[in-house]
Amino acid sequence: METARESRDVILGLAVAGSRVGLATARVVLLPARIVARAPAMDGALNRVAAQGKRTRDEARRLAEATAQDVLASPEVGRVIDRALAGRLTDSIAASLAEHRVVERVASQMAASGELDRALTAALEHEITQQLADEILASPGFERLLVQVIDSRLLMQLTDRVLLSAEMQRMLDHLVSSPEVRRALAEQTQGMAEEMAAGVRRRTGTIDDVAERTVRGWLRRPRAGVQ
Amino acid sequence: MNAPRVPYAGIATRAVGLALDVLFADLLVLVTAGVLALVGSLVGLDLSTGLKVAAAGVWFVILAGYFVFFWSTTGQTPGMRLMRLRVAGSDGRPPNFGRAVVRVIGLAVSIIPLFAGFLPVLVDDRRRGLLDFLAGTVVVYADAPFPELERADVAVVAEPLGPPV
Repeated sequence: METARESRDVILGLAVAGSRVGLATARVVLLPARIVARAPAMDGALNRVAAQGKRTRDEARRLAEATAQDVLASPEVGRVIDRALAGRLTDSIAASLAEHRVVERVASQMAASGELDRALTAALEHEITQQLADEILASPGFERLLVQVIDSRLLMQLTDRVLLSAEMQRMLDHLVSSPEVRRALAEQTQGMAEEMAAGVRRRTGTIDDVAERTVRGWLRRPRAGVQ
Repeated sequence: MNAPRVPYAGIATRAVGLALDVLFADLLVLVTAGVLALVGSLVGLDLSTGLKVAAAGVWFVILAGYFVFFWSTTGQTPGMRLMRLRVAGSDGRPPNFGRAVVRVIGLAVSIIPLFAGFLPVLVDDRRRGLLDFLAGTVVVYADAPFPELERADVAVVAEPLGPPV
């Protein structure tokens, strides 16, 4: 069976093999130095060399961090990320997140740990949130948006669907058959009837007095027996 | 400053109470008549003139019975109850059956001459109408104490046919 070879694979294989040979050679060459380094007399010198090495490593790390920041801040990286997001990568990630139910798992873990509550409470109680909410509520744009939503046909359709839904019917049945609601309605109706009757009584009482005073005035007959 | 409240019910309050009672009693008669008419139509009963007169008599009996029953038992018809009124004899208690019957007759007599029988309410110190003079009763507010004047003047009030003024 014939295997297809590519030139770059051959070059890569040669480079790896050459590196291994180089490493083995270096180990053999450095063997006397390693033996000398293990000698007790070499401690002071080795410490100085180690300190020098540590300083070099820290310097290299700082350099790497600065370079990484420069790279991340560059417009090229922005363009690369933009191209990546515009491509299939985003769809793949979204599909993967949905397939493995990542959001649901994270949310359930956060809810179970109480982190979500704490984060939400902190966000809601934050001064900036309140300020933001005030600004949104005071903005004419938000008002226009609300008016548009209220006037929209979609809202009417949505309301109709909700009103005609079986759940709404069930809820209404539950409310109407609830003894508490019935009692409250009866009390309210009775209260209104009582209020109306009291109003009628007050007015007729006034008419009683006025009519009696008028007729007695005509007859010049003062009222007696008032208690 | 508000004038002291008179414990006797005035003409407008009594008129509203009476109107409500007539409405309730007529509803009662209407329902009864409806049921009887339905039964009559099912058995093929034809209402002759005699039966119509009898029906009118039944209407009057039911109406009178309504007032007599409530006056003699609780002293309050439903209409009077809504207006917080009650009818009482000189002892403060509801009139007995006989007085209630006399009062119903007095009511009819007061209504026939275009309600002229109620005019004495406007001039009498105890706001009594013709029916009250006939039955020896007064109409007082149910939520007010019964006037002591009545108790002290039992002999006068108890006279069923006293002077109208």
